[in-house]
Amino acid sequence: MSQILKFHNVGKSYGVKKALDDVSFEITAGKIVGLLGSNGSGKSTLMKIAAGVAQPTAGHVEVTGMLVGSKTKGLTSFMPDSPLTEDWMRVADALSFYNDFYADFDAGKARDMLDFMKLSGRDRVSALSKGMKERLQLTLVLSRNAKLYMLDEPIGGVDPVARGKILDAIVEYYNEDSSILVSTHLLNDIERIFDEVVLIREGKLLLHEDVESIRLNRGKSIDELFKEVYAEC
Amino acid sequence: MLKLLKYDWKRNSTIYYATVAVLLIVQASLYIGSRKGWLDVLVIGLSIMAFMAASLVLFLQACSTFNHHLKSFNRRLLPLKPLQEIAAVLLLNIIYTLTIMLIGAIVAAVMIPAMDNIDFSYIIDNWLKPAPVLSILGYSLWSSVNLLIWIMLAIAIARSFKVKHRFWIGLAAFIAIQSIIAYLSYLLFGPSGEAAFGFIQFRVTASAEGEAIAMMPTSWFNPLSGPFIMEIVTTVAALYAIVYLMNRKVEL
Repeated sequence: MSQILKFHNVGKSYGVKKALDDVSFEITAGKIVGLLGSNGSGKSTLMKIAAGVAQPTAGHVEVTGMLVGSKTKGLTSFMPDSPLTEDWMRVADALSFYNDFYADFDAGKARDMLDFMKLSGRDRVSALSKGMKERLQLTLVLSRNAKLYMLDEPIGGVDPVARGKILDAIVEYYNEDSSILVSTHLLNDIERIFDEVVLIREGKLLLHEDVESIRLNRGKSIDELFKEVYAEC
Repeated sequence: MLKLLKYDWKRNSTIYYATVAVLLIVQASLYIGSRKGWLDVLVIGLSIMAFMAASLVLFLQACSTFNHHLKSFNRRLLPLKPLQEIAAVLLLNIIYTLTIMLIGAIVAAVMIPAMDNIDFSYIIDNWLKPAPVLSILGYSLWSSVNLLIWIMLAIAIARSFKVKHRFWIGLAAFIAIQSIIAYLSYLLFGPSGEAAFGFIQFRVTASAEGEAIAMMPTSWFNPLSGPFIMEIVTTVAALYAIVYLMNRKVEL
């Protein structure tokens, strides 16, 4: 299995506060990995560093063996918890934007996803509901044939029907030669799609393990393990 | 870079077209007023004020576009070099500046013949020649681009901090850097305004009231003037600093 993402002793501090502390792990191709942690545990910071929009204060990160930089941005498709679109745009403009800047953007896949997500190219981004905006973000991110997809809370704040739709889209449309890192704390809905989980607490890596081995060796679901680990948080 | 420019253009198009439309309406109104006997001095004064206001709006829009580049995920995640992003904003600003200049030229061509009470013959005889026109054009564009680069540096410095009042950090940095450069320029080249710019050189004349800057340019273009070379060197340094901050310090 080829290595997609590698964290080498990564630390990140904001003043005296440590957002990440000596984090090391590796993700190989073909895996859907859950990045789990309570609020403020460092999930978003970790993803931002891997996406190249934040810098580590210690260690380094590699995507497909390259240090994170402008080149790896072309291999990484990141869905942050903030908009990837602009208010003046229609859905079609957002797709054109991605098509213009990312060589791996697949316009056919984007059209399929728009239908799947019940979105129209004529819709104004500013007029979309929160759930529909999440669907559009996911359409933009998954329409690329990237090596690494990172989804930061892709189902946070959307209704259960939209959640199901979004999770189905993740499984249906992601490229199997690549990996997906999904951060969440809504495990009931999402744990069915994970191959591995990474648990972090207060910026420290607690566990990186295969989901099946957790179920077999510990006799617990991911949700139960999460509740046990973060009980005091 | 041109693709970025396309999206910056679309993002700002409403303000751009609105500004141009308002400017044209104001200038048309002033022309009608001039034909109806308004004072020429009043018409020229209001016309210049309208141009200054429109230039300011579009210049601030260019500054805001760079700020948007730094704070938006959809821009920061693009697989582009920071210099490409900087160049796109500078190009946008050049287009805005040229728009104002073009409208200015058209308005001048229409207004000046309609004004009987002011003698424009000096300007027409001395300034309407290739060298002065190109120098004024070049100087205006350079000044606009140069100022924008320094403001972009101040924005990048402000965005390198994750504190509430970072706007004031950027403003303080802008004032401090400009003061240092002005002081260095004073130390190296003295207080004389002669050869103060690469494009237009003004003559400093001594008079009974003290020094005064003569409005008549002594020569139109001197790319080897010391202050102009210093401006280029400091501007390149500013660009390098912006790239460094975008790569290393500005975070989302």
